[in-house]
Amino acid sequence: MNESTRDTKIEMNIGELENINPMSHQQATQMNAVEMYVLSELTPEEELRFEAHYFGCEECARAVAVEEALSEVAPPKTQPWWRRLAFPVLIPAEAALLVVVSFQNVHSIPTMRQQLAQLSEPQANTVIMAREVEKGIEQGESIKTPSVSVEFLLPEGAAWPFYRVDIQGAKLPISQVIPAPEGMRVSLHVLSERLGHGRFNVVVHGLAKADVKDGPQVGQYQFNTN
Amino acid sequence: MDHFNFDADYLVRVRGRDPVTLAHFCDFFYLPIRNHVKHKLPRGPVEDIVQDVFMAALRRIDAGAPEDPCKLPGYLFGISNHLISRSINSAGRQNVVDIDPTLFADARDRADVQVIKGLNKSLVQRVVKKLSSRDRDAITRVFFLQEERAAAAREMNVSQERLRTILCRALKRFRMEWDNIQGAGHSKKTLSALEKNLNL
Repeated sequence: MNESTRDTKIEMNIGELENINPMSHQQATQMNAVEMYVLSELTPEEELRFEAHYFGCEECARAVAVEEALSEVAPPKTQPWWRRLAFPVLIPAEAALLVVVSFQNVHSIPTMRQQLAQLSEPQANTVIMAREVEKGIEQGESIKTPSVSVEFLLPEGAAWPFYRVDIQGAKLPISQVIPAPEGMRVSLHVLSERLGHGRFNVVVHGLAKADVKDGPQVGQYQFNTN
Repeated sequence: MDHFNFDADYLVRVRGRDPVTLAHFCDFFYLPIRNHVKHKLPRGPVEDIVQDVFMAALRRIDAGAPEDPCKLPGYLFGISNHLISRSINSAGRQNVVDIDPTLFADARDRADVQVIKGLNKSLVQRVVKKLSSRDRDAITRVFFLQEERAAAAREMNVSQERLRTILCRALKRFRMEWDNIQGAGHSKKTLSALEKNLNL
């Protein structure tokens, strides 16, 4: 487009606006045109007529400039600092947290609940009576509980303050030092998985002190498990 | 005051670059053009477009426009509107005019345009403090915090229609307090001073 063609087009454009009927000052005052203009509440036609008016009205032009000052000092609408951090920092952190929480909800917490429930349940226990060797062995007990109480009666006259009880034949060695019971019945609590199945000998030694390793044998017992 | 009527003689003086007339021309039209540009392009290069409008206007005045000198304000409005549209349509600035832009620099620093120079944050805040708490709340929400009107109305527990009324009243009071601080009739005083200079 050459200069003269463009100028002609501009002149036509300007000419159209030149012939707009500007709002009168009285009209502008009555309808609070300054305030409505600043608040962008005028219709497009009213806005055009008011603009045409204040191009020739110093008072309205100044009034608009003063009231527009409020917009000029307003800070640019920016996101607060914590929002600006959202993408680089908070979103990855939130994602990681979501993964952790999901894992806990799906796996860790149910597992822990299950374990807690198991621990909270009353544990069933099998009591096995070991008999003196000379009395012979009875039919074996079937063990379906996680733990077993092996019980036996100390021989008459045994009066040691401590006893060492060894269970021979167990999967894992079992040897416990226990204080003298109030009566003659001794009850020894052992884990089933540690005991295993088969025939077992229980050898009891009398100890003068808890930290003494050895002492005279005071009794020998037997029991079976299936 | 007749000297500043928009008549054929005024245009002749502008074409002849009479300094007093040119100062009046710039002072008179600076605020309307600036308001116009700022209203349409609040984030745009306001001062650049204002200068473009002045340069384009002088160029056309030199070429004999407008046919009816009384329509000079409307003519400036048309040029301003055209350049704003061009800027919106991303045609960009095209300084095809051969007017010396320094003609306007001094004019802008004189007289009535000083009102804009006085606009600064602390002064605005000082004026806002003089408003009633309700007016101040409305102004703060809509202008300073730039809240949506609907949200501001909700927060203030009023209808949007009521908020508009409050804002309208608050703006009027803001202007009144501003005038009290700045000294009312600032622009008239400036023009009187210019007239005296002219008589001398």
